[in-house]
Amino acid sequence: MTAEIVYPTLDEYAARVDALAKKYGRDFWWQLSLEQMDDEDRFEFSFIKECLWDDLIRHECEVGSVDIGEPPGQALLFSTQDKPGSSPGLSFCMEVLFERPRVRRPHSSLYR
Amino acid sequence: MNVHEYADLIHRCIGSCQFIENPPHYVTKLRVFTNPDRFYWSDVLLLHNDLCLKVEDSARFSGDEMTIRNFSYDLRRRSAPRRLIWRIDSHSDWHPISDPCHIHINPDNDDERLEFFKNSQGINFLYVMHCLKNQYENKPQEWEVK
Repeated sequence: MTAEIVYPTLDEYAARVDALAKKYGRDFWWQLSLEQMDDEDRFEFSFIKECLWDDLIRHECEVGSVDIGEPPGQALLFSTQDKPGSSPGLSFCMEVLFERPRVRRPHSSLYR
Repeated sequence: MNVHEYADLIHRCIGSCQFIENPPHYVTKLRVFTNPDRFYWSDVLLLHNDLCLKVEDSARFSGDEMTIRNFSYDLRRRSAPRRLIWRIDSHSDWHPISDPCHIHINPDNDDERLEFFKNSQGINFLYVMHCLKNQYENKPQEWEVK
């Protein structure tokens, strides 16, 4: 057995959380909860929640901003919350819901 | 010890570990994230004499120090009924390194815990290798003699 030190990218983890969302029947990865996961996924998602959540949220917004556009008469508004919400790192909320195509990401090489 | 040093320590421990069963040969991936520094490793190591070590090890670092961790090192028999030998863990949750961590040694009740470690500083993979060595050399573990 050998060990390899790897430096995964956020793209790889974004693909991973999308795969988890699909596995557990959620539309979006930020709707996932530890309680619904099996032991194998729970530890990994716990790491994602504690250590990567803010980065992934930022990444999602950056990637999403390319796709969103701005339909006439409908702007995307963000506002701060008085208190932290149930999702760590998600300190803003969208006042106008918007639909955008799911971002298609390359398959993660982490799990090959 | 910073995140790179910790990953490198594990890398070297695995490379030189005499208890790991050689075939099948496979690569274990240690994931390192920088700025801020974070570490993630999840694996099952197959060991000689029908043992396996399930590793779940993740941490945040601040400079040269781990600050918060979620970890479990679970040693048990590989064959059914896969009886527990010992498990050192932070109870499946994130805790500051200054918080106590536990040892589980009752094969008939995996959840029963012994409050042994005052904090998790030093309870890392190198310590686990030390415990494995004791196991294979039939030497008492630290929690058995104190």
